[in-house]
Amino acid sequence: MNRSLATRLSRLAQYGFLGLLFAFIATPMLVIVVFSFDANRFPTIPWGGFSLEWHRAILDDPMIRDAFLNSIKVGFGTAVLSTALGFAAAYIDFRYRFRLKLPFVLLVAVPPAVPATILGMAMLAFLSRIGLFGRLETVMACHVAIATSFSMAIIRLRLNDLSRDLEPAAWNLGASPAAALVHVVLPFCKPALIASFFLSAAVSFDEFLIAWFVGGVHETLPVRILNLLQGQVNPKINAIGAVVLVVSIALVLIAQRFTGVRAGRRPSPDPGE
Amino acid sequence: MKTPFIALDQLDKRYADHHAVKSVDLDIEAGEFIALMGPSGCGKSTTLRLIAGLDEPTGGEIRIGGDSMRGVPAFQRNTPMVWQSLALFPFLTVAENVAFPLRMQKVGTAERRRRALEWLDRLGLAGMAERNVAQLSGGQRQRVAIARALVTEPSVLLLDEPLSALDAHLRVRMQTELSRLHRELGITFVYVTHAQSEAFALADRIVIMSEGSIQQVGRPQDVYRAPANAFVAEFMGMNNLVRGEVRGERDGLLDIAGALGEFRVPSATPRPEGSSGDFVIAADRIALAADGEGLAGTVLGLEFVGSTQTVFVEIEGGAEFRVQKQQHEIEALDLVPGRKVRLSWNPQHAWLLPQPAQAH
Amino acid sequence: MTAASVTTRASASRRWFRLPRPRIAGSSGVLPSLLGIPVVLWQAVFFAAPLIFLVVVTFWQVKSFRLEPAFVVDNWTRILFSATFQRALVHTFLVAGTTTVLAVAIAFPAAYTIAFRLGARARDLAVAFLVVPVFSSYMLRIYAWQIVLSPEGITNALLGGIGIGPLPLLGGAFSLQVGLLTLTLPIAVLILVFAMAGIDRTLIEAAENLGCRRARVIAHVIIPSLRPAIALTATTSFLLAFGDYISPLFMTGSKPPTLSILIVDTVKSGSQWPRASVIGVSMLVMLALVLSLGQYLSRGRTGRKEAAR
Repeated sequence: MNRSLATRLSRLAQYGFLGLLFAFIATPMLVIVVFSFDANRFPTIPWGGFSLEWHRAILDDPMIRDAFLNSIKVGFGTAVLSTALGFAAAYIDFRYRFRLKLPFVLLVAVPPAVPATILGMAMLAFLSRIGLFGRLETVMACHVAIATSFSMAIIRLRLNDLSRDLEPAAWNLGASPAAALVHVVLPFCKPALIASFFLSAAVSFDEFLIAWFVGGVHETLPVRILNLLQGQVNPKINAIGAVVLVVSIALVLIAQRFTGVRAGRRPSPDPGE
Repeated sequence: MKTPFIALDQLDKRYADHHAVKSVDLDIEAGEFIALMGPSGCGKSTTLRLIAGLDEPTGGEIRIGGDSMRGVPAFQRNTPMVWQSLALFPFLTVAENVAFPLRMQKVGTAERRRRALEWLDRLGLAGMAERNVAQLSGGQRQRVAIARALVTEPSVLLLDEPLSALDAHLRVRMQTELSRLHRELGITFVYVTHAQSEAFALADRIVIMSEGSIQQVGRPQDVYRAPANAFVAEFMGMNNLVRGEVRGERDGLLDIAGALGEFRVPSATPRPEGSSGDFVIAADRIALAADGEGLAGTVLGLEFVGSTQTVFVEIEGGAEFRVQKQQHEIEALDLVPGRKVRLSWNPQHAWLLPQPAQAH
Repeated sequence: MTAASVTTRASASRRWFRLPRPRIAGSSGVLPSLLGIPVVLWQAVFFAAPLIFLVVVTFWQVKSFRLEPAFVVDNWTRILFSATFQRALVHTFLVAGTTTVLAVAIAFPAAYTIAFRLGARARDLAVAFLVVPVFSSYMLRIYAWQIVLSPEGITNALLGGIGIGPLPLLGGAFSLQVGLLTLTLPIAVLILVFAMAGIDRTLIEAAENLGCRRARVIAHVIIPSLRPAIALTATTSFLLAFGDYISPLFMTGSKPPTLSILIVDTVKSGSQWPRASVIGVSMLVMLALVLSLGQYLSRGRTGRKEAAR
């Protein structure tokens, strides 16, 4: 057999395989969006025709409106707090050496690795005993405990590119360590802070098990969807789903825009070098 | 007696894995341009960082203007430094970079902008104020770093191999610039470098360090002509070290015998027979001849250094000598590799190394 | 030559981060404490304390629907020796193991194509595309698969059009794996893409110049240097699949139950907190074991010898 033909066939097979994988990942997202505009009560083929009926219906549903509002509050609070805590954790890991460093880093990094079912149950059991059950703030606090891990990771990655001399240079020029943190490290980390903000918001906006466990009557949007899904077939689900999908994809895309992480290359470090 | 502006007193710095600075004593006069030199890892940069307070000494003391720096944090010392990496803030404009130290001193916005622009102007960077530092050339970035360090009008400027990232042409121009600034400002410059040419062109005094200890302090020419020990002699490059032993003395010169033969070397102080007679002879003091008296050797090769050439000669008995000659002399002797030559010098030009300390 | 320069570069960058951080004279511990204490407190209250409490609760008792402090091992013995738990355990292990194998087997060639066949721009797009599902709307995507796979759903409607079916796509091992791969594949591919992009291309080109065929390059150059990444991919996939609640719930209707399903059911039915906690703690122990196994395998033979020394 011709060598180049074999190469070409093998390339074709590789691209085809990748295409199938991407289709597998994209299909569910497309299905949600497409069928949210379907007039049928039950989503199937043939399509029941274009309709905005269900989108309108979710606007009229007070529970969904409340849930959406709750999600925004929790998401915003999580974004702010976990970015602040994530920055503190990343900076400590970057700057200081101390004996309990590994436990410290693990304490921040590990939470997303614990299955949400177990973590949700544990948080519910513990937090209800100290009187924090059933509050929106509690949902946010728990989301922060998880999202800080991602914030720390993003910001730590950025700090790797902070030229080793930049902070000492600031001290040398009269900046106290705190002033150097504010005037040098923070501005340097700005893209990562923005990325962390949006990614934490996305993590919170997407989380449903812990919110379900500790939120009590305060439902976030994904919890509302979970409850709807466990009930009867409800055509509103596609419409809410489409909204949630668009919001969370937008948040992740904005976050990505600011991470500057690329496969194979790191963003260029300090141009002063 | 005048009190030195910067005094290092038994300064010591140990890290977990090595002893970077060993009991260094050094006095630096106000307004002096002093260069710390030595191979990488000799402790020169660490010494500079200790002066700036970027590292804490593990022993000894630093005094600046008579005040002990013990416990004074870096940001309260006003010992600005020009970094090898420049360490410009990439997220600030040129003017904001220069104004940074003033901002840290809580100088008002208008005032700090005025002073930043003034310094940019002074360093030939007028019109660059609003640029991003990434848009500047290497030489321009260098000037920004210098302007930023000088904007607070400190009484000392620390420079850590500031020119090593520049190409040869720019380096010479920046040397002139630094020399001019030093003259105009009259402040103390402490300059760390491994490049002999920079230190010779700029410094009033040079300090040679090795393995954390000072080997010699002095005017560049003195250190070159009269190295304190074999390390300094070899570090200065254009010196040939001859090992030998004192055999006696006559007519004010010592008789020295070594593996390469017998030599006569002047000595300021008498030295007993049998003691060390290591001496150096500078490469530009050696005469070459096709035959006659002197050390016999074979030309190994030649190397251009500016207008002169360095001739590498292998001496019978194993040593390798460096001889510096003008181009026309090379041509006259037809020095090509493999040519047999004779090396000789005026005994008065040989420099007997001081006897090694008996310590350790 | 290339290999040598690669290692020097790696060790140089490693040394960079081990350099003693410059301690400035007179610096105090105020700033690090100010930064560190809120982080530690927050993670302690909302993460560590709940998990510790979970372990404590396994020894407590439920009396008349109320949780009461006690020290009994009854919860442990009851759960560990119950047939339901043991069946669910085996089932969960098999399911998560299958997902792990499938995820690595599918992700590897896909990541290879992305890392070595796509141009820089296409590669960035592919990475961006893969990052999105890692952080968004997993539950909704599972719901979408329900629509696609259900008896009256899209697939069967399409198949019916050409006279096949309806096929029982939903509710079995197949749909469960579809769900779990939806969860695991994006991150699995990402880990491998980043690891492959980190391999020095000159190493591969050198091997090819030495006459290695592509397949041999993969076997002798790429796979050995990817060993830690493959182990990470496998353990991540396993961890996600092992603890997942949504796919078993919606793709199989919780039959047979996995351990996650069992936890939620145990909590719901009669507030059996201690027993649910036992299941939770057992799951965490097993995950920790799997993770350390992954660590062990990722080190490879030479690494293990070094560690033993």
